[in-house]
Amino acid sequence: MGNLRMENIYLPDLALIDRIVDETSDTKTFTLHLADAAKNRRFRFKSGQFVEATVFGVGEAPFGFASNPHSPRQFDITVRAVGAVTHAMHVLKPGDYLGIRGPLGNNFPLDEVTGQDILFIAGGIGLPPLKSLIDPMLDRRAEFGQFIILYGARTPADRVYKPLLQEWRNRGDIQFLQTVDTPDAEWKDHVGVVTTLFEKVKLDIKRTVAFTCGPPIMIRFVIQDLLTMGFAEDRIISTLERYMKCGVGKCGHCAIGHKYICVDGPVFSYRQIKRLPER
Amino acid sequence: MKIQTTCPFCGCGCGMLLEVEARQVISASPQRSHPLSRGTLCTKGWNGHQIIHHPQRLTQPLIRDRKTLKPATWRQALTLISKRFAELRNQHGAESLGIIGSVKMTTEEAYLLNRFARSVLGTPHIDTLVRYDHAPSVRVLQEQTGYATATAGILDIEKASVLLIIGANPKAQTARIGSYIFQAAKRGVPVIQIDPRQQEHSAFYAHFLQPRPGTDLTLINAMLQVILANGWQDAGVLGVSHLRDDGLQRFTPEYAETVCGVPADKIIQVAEVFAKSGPGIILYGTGITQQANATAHVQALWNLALLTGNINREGAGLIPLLNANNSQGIIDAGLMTELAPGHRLIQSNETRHALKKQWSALPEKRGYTIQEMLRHAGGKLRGLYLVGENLAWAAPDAQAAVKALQRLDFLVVQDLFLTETAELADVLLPACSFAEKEGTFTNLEGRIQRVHRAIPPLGESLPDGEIFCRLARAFGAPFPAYDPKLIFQEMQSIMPCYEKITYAQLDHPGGVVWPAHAAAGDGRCRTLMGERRGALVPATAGAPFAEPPDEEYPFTLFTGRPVFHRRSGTLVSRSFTLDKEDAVQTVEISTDDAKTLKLRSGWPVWVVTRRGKLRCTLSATRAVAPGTLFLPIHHKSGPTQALMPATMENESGIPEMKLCAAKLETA
Amino acid sequence: MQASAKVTVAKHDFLEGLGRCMKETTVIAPVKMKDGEVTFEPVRTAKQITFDYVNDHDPLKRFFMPAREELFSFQNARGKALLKSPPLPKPRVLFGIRSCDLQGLAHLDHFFQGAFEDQLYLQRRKSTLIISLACNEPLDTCFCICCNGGPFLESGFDLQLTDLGESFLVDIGSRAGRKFLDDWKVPCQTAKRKDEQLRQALMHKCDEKMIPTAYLAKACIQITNNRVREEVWDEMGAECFSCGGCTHVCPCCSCFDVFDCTEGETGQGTRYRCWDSCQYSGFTREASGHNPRAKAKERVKRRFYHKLSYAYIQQDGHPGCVGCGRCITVCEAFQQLDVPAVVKRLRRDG
Ligand SMILES: Cc1cc2nc3c(=O)[nH]c(=O)nc-3n(C[C@H](O)[C@H](O)[C@H](O)COP(=O)(O)OP(=O)(O)OC[C@H]3O[C@@H](n4cnc5c(N)ncnc54)[C@H](O)[C@@H]3O)c2cc1C
Ligand code: SF4
Ligand code: FES
Repeated sequence: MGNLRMENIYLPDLALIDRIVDETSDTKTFTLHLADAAKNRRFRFKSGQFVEATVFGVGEAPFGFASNPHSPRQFDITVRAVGAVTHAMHVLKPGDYLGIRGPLGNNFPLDEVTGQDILFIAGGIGLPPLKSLIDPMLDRRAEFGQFIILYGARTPADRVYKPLLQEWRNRGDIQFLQTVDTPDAEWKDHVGVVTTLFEKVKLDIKRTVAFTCGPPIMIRFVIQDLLTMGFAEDRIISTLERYMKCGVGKCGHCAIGHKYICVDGPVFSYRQIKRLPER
Repeated sequence: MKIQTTCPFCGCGCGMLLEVEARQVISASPQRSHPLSRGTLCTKGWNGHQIIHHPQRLTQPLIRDRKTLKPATWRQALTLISKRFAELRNQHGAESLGIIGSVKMTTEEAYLLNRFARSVLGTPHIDTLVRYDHAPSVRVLQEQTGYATATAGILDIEKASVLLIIGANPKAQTARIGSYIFQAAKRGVPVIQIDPRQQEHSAFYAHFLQPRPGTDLTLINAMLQVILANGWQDAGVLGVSHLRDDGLQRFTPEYAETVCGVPADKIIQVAEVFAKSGPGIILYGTGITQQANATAHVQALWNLALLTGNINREGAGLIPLLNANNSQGIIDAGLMTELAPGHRLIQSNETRHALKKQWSALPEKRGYTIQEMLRHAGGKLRGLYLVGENLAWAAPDAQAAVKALQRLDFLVVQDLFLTETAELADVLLPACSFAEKEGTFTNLEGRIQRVHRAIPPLGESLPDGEIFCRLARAFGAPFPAYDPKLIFQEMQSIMPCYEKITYAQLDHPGGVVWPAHAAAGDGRCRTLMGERRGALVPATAGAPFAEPPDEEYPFTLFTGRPVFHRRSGTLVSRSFTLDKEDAVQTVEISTDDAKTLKLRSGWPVWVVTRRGKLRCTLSATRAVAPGTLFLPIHHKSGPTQALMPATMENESGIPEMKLCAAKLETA
Repeated sequence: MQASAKVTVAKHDFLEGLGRCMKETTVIAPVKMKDGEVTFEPVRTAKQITFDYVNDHDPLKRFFMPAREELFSFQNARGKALLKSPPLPKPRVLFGIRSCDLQGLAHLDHFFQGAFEDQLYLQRRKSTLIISLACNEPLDTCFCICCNGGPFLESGFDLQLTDLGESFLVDIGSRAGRKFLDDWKVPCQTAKRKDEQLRQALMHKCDEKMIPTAYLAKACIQITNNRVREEVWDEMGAECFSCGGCTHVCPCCSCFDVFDCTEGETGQGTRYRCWDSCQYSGFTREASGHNPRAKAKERVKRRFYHKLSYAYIQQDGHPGCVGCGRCITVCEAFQQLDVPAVVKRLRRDG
């Protein structure tokens, strides 16, 4: 009666935690590798994809890759503690394990945008998934034109990757601007929502591809502004976030119209987003 | 395999099939042949079964060892209970012991607990949480008809020509009844709804009246006044002069308009529609019973039904929307301090005489209601046996209730889960769920239906009834092994309303509606009341609203239930799917007030009353009127009832927990 | 697919063969419950089987995607977890499934294949031999003729039976079906032309009795192009009880949620999936508290987009409805929000 070979798409692989970095009071970055050496050697992902991470007995949740796809045999996820799974992850220590399924989902265009000016607009915990694209792009810096990163957070303390941000600031070959909603005493940079940074940069709209990731409300305003500036709809690339369970297009939770964010996304151009029946 | 049983959530009593695989209940589905539910379930019915295998189920008895509860054997637990209760009884008398039963038990279990309390422990202090919902209905209906039950059946809704809903959200609370009302509205039957909050279905009803909270009595009396003034009353009705003598005259629609904020002509209009449309049913809920004047409310509604000829008539009557799956069965079994089994008053000598013959012993008088037990806890009341109720959440002024429980010398809790109340127990007994036992539930129209065992009890948990029998035997009382069928037969021998029912009949889809000797097609009320007629009763002397808004607390706060919720939430919050529905605690405010206070939907706020405060997310809506706040009960983030007052209405012993004064603070 | 071979078999012969099969393989078949309703469950003898039914109120997808099922079990240990997939399903026979439910399975087959294959479902499908029973007599809620869901099918079964009175007309749909007839020594006659004519007549009569309600095209166009007025959705949203019944009883619906269950402090546990419903507000609520379908109206809209939009029909090859009519019976908002009712409402609108 047919071939009874069984591949369980819901069964995670074990991954061990190599390192944990505290990013903010509620956000940590986990560096992981798959416990099975052979699997780990074969493990490849692309910028913009995500994994489903499990704490056994608590549950599973999706997280975007936050590291360079080309850095070997390890990967990062940056996790903000908001609920059951994420809080359970936050009490783990290096050497502990997680369940991992992935890589899942589609990815950001990279080779397709060489030769273009690049604009990133990130909000809060939206930076990590973009970092998985920024890193490999900066490795190939010469292949791109102007390179701008705009980052907004609620407070200075809520910014992730603070040492890296400093590095970006110091690099001469990219423009990095940051802003916060509520500054503290030491803050010398911009204040205001991330879209206020648009006035501070000079863009060649026709040559630029914009990538954005962040809270839904921020994304909405960013896209509005980009359109007003004259960006073509397919030059605005965004991620969509939905409540996800299975990550493999079966559970139905992430569906928008007939698209499943977990397999058809999470990366979409605004032209695609616009066509979705529910927005 | 599928096991037929009855839904354990609300008073509708929908027929349900449990699918069992490898001793696990994996789903619930609707019973198509059920005369009431006809192949439907509400969201609780579909998903509530998930509680059965919840990992937090209690599976063995626990005994307090200083600060912690430690596992024990049944023998140890029962021995300890009998020893401690006996000591308290020797020191302080039987009246130092109290019993509070669950409204979710089977009727057989309620009966056994009643018998155990009164004849073995010898205490008069027994009560259930029907007290908190419908004590006034029990009182008024028992007085008027001899039976503390609805005078119409649920299917009468299909025969009614007009419906009046007051103080209830049937769509959310008793969804199946909500469905019948909705169907009637779609057929063009005029539905009149009176409620301080506009509900999703209100738009489909012909008339929606939004009185100020706490002014219902004036509104109902104004309807009565209009009917009398225009001579729209039923021709045969006697004793109208009682009402006139009572001063009904002063409830003119114009006066009511000033009190309730409902336009006078609207009052006249609905009074006419209700009086003239033909057979009519009044459905009411805790919105009018958990208030000052609760008993007067029910009396006034009784007057309205009687005056319009809607008692003793098909497709007509008065239906209190009892909350729990077995509230009615609990009342039938007499598990309230003023009642004996079979809807008789315990005070009556005749009743006591008959019951004593069966039970051999019986305390001499009626005892405390829940609120009185809590008040006397640690004083006159020393030991309490609390079955399946999470008073720490369900009781008004919940912190006070917790303190009362802490004052007790000895507290026994019997439950499925380690609730906030169970944490206070000296002995905690693990009861099993509805899927693990046999027996009957009686729905809010008196429909007795079977509950079937789908799986064996989890761990060492036992059916409540089995625990009562073992406990009675630990006290040396000759209770036999627990057999629900024999208990049912024993009940039949002393409860005339359960006469002439065979156990096999109960297995028919929909079971049997008591009284079973009613000929088919005979109005339920007629057979219930026999020669009785019921009388119009004075119901105009309203007491003032206990806690009117003032400068410090400018809002009137009132509560209600969302659809995925039941009672204290002990059960539903442990259904994975239902729990997800209930992600944020919201408080509703009128859009106008929100604008004035410069508050927006989605903002966190504190709702503050004289008893406490609760963090909520604000929701600005046109559903509530300016000056009012609406809070759904209960949310896992904190007990709503902790905000509400426990002031007791003396006539029925119900706490006035529906309304109070409140203010908002930004969080 | 080639046209299936046809034979006729005397009814008692077929049941005897099935009875022989029961000794070795689990056979799931329709049986009467105490209340007279029918349910499908494993049977031990052919005598238990009832033919006095139109359909089970609970769709048969439950045998392939149970309301709750194990995805895997785990044992947390030091430095690692031991994981175990559930065992492979055993071979079994499903007898008496109606065309609409079978068409529903075809819908789910397509969905559970795709880029990721859900082997939990697919293996159950593979290990189950399907003997379907065409309908001679519809319920007053049936409309399978409008959704290509019956009363009899061209494919998808291993064997399809049509009740011709004394005998069954048997369509052999697969090699496994033919093997069943051989293995259990079911005596077959070649079908005659008059047998086929008799079936055509029966089916024609069945067609006539069906509610001619679901002329889907207009509704599909309205939904696909988002041309339904918001007020229409508003009204439907207000009516809806959000009970989720329509999705639970729909043979085409398959959304699920996932949760972990642990046994005490042992570190041992199971990850389950259970049916979920897009009609529940918890279905789409996100970590931020933001809920894209917070209102019942949006959820009702979602359900019909999934059932009837051309985008989905193209993706799935079939509308998300097979005309079984269960959503009519199950709806708390009596006869307002089932597929025929909504199709009618949308047809009238705009
Ligand atoms: C493609 C994708 C990429 C993501 N990348 C990141 C990332 O890089 N870093 C990060 O910190 N977060 C990321 N998230 C969000 C993250 O998945 C959620 O914060 C996480 O699922 C919450 O799980 P929990 O168990 O802790 O919360 P729960 O306790 O399950 O829930 C808390 C609240 O979150 C909701 N919720 C539960 N599961 C999800 C879910 N899967 N998605 C959205 N809401 C949910 C619940 O309804 C509830 O309201 C991503 C989400 C998606 C869809
Ligand atoms: S209406 Fe009441 S009895 Fe019926 S399924 Fe819902 S909770 Fe259960
Ligand atoms: S997350 Fe399950 S379908 Fe996308």
